[in-house]
Amino acid sequence: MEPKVEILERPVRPDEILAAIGADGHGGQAIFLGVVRDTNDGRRVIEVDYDCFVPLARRELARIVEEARAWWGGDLCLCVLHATGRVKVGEASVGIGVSSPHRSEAFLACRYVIEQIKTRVPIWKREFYTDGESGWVEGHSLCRHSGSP
Amino acid sequence: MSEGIRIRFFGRLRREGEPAIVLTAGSLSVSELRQRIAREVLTDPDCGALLAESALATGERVLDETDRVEPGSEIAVLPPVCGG
Repeated sequence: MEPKVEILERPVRPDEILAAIGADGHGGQAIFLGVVRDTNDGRRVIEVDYDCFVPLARRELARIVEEARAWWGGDLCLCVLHATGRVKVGEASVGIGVSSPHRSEAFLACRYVIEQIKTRVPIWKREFYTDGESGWVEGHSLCRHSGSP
Repeated sequence: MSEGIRIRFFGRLRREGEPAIVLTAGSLSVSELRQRIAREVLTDPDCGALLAESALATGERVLDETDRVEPGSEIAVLPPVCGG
C-alpha cells in the first residue's frame, strides 16, 4: 500500500489513520496521536492555531516516510496526517500510523516519524489562552538533513 | 508576477493582515535578501534575531545563502519550527 501523507485544514481523526494502514501479513500496528492539551508552561490553553508552509511540509513529510521505509522495511504501511488551522483541546493535530509484519518495526518507525516532524517540517503553533491572550510556541531552527534511528 | 521579490512570512514572523510583501529588488543572493529584509522590513530587534534563525525557501526547496533570487520570485521566510 502506498504511504498516505496529507496536510489537512481540520483536526486529525484516528479512524482515517487506521483505515490507511494494515495488510494481511502485518501483525503489528502502531498509532501515535498528538493531541492539544489544556495547559502549557502553566497557562490554560483553549486551542492552538497551526500555521504551515504547505509545499515544503508535504515534500519533507514524504521524505521522512521514505526514510522510515528504508530503515525498517519497504513493506511498512505508513500514514501521516497533520492538521492546520484551529485545533481545540482534546483534538488531534497530528496522527501517524504504521503497520508492519512485527511490532518492533512499527513502534520504531512511528517514533522516528514524529521526532523528525518536530525539527524538519515547517509548521508553527500559536496557542490561545483562557485569559484572551495568545503566544507562539518556541521552536527549533529548520533541520535540513535526514535523521537516523 | 510583477517586478520585485514577493516575501511571505510564517509562524511568529507572520504579519497580521499582510500575508506577503513585495520588495523592490533586482537579482540578489539569499544572503543579500536576508540583509534587505532585516534592514527594511523586520526592523524590530526581536524579529531581526528570529530572521537570523530562519530558513528561506521557495516552493519545495530550502535555499542556501549563496543561491540567487530573481525578480518575480516568491520566497518564504521560515522561523524555527514546532510541528506535531
